[in-house]
Amino acid sequence: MVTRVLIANRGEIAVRVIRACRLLGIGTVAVHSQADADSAHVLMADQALCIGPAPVRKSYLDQAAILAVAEVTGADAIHPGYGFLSENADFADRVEAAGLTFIGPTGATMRIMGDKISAKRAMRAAGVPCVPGLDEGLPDDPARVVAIARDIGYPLILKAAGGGGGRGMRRVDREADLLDALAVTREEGRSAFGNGEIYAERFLTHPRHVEIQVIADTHGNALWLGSRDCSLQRRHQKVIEEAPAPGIDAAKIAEVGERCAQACRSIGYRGVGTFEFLYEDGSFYFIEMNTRLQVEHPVTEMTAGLDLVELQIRVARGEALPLAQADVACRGHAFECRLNAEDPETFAPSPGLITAWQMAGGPGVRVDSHAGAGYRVPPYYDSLIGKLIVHGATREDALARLRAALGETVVEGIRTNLPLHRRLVDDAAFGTGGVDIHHLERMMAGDAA
Amino acid sequence: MSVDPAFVAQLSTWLAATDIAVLELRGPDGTLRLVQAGSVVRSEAVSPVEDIAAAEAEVVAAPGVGVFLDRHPLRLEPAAAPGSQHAAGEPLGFLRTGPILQAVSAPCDCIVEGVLAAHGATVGFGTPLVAIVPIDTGETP
Repeated sequence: MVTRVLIANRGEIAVRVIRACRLLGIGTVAVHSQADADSAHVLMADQALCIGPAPVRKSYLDQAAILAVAEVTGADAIHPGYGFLSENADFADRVEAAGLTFIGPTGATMRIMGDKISAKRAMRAAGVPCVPGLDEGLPDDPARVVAIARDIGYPLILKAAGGGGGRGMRRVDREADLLDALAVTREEGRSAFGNGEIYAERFLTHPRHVEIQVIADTHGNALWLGSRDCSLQRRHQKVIEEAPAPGIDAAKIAEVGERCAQACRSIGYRGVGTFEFLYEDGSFYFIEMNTRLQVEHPVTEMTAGLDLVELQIRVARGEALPLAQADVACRGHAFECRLNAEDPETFAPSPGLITAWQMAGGPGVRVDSHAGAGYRVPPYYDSLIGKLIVHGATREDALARLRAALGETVVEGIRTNLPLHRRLVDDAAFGTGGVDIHHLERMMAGDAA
Repeated sequence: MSVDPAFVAQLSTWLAATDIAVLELRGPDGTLRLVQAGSVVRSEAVSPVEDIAAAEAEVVAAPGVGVFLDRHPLRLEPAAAPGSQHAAGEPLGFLRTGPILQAVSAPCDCIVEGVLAAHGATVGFGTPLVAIVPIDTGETP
């Protein structure tokens, strides 16, 4: 039973979770740092308690403080949102050990999927296509490493098993550089992630980032809810996402989606999750699974016509999924622009007071945000201040809506990446659809040249 | 401040025989100040409110999340009350989180100006709990 949900997060996702709880008639408890005392999620929740000063280690990452809030407020479930503690297996275990419901997968599942090598092994076993490479860490013997690398082929990429978000990775173009690169990456893995295990896989030169949204309940049901394309990235940070991934045969996506759902059943997955793939020359290659709600989940909500947070909570309280795979359809097309408080050219954070805030509206337009006029963007956290989401009958319709919506949007007082978004939606290659993950950085490099 | 008038008279006599300009007695309910004024000693009673207002009040805030208790669960009387004096480290109240009871300690020698949180209130990090006025002990740290 879930009657009162503690939201262990801040910003737009905390607001998003509170909205879903309200729809379900569930009480809400917000936690916040001193810097977020006046934030929207604090004002919207039924109850709110400060858990520490601004630095995240002393507030949003303070597991004991969050559990203490659950204890004193009588919250019986914790929604971790994304980031912060959302993929922390130890936290999930502690929540459940305290007799509370963790709205997400079990700690054990997170551990399998959080380790890139064990995740890849599990996915290959479930028939999910993976990038060519071994399902185990590289050995210490240099001769064996060289032989394995020859089998994989160059260029290849070395990845720390515990890494993620673009960290702990190194491209190797020729055999002469292999062993030095391995030593450096192994050391990085040890110091940054406490895990010196490194694996190698083929480096794809012009891939797209395509992902599959899944949801699974505790009754053995698992569904895939559609594809997303998140190729417009800079330094592994997504800028614009869309659903479905354009220009990919629907049957091919369905085949991969079904394997993802099957993988969920195989590992006993629970809750929402995302399988991330590189897509190149008509083939999908699994890279990792995110065992949580994604920032870009709204584009799937728009095309699937589902409330993923509501479903996530229903599954957490033990309900069976209320629909079957045959009920899941992809209708129209959706885009999401991440509005960040940052310089549109240098990408440097731009905290400060928002003096004017005008969001777009009209049919097919949705804004998920915690910000507004008079809101002071704190310098301590992620620069995301909102998400502009549009939906249209076709990709062209949705793109036209996105252009119009971006034209209406006004944020003053701080610098934002709105100019970059306006430029991207007029970019010819993006307009056609199917750009690769290097497109934005090439564009920026072209500006600098 | 209630002090025996005979005791005040005795102190005044002693003070007059010295070159000390002011003698100040502080207690939980106020301050008595004896001031040399020419050949006489004048006594001035300072109320607790005036006394505390003259000094700079500080707030002892919750060090974490919990339920504020103004007294130890095994005691009947509050740990702190307006005007009560406490040495550094003495409890001014308690925070209860599940089975854990954590003392909210006086950060310095102080007089309590007021207890700001209600007994049994759920408080977060930084919630003001007790207003205090530090006592200047004259010690150099």
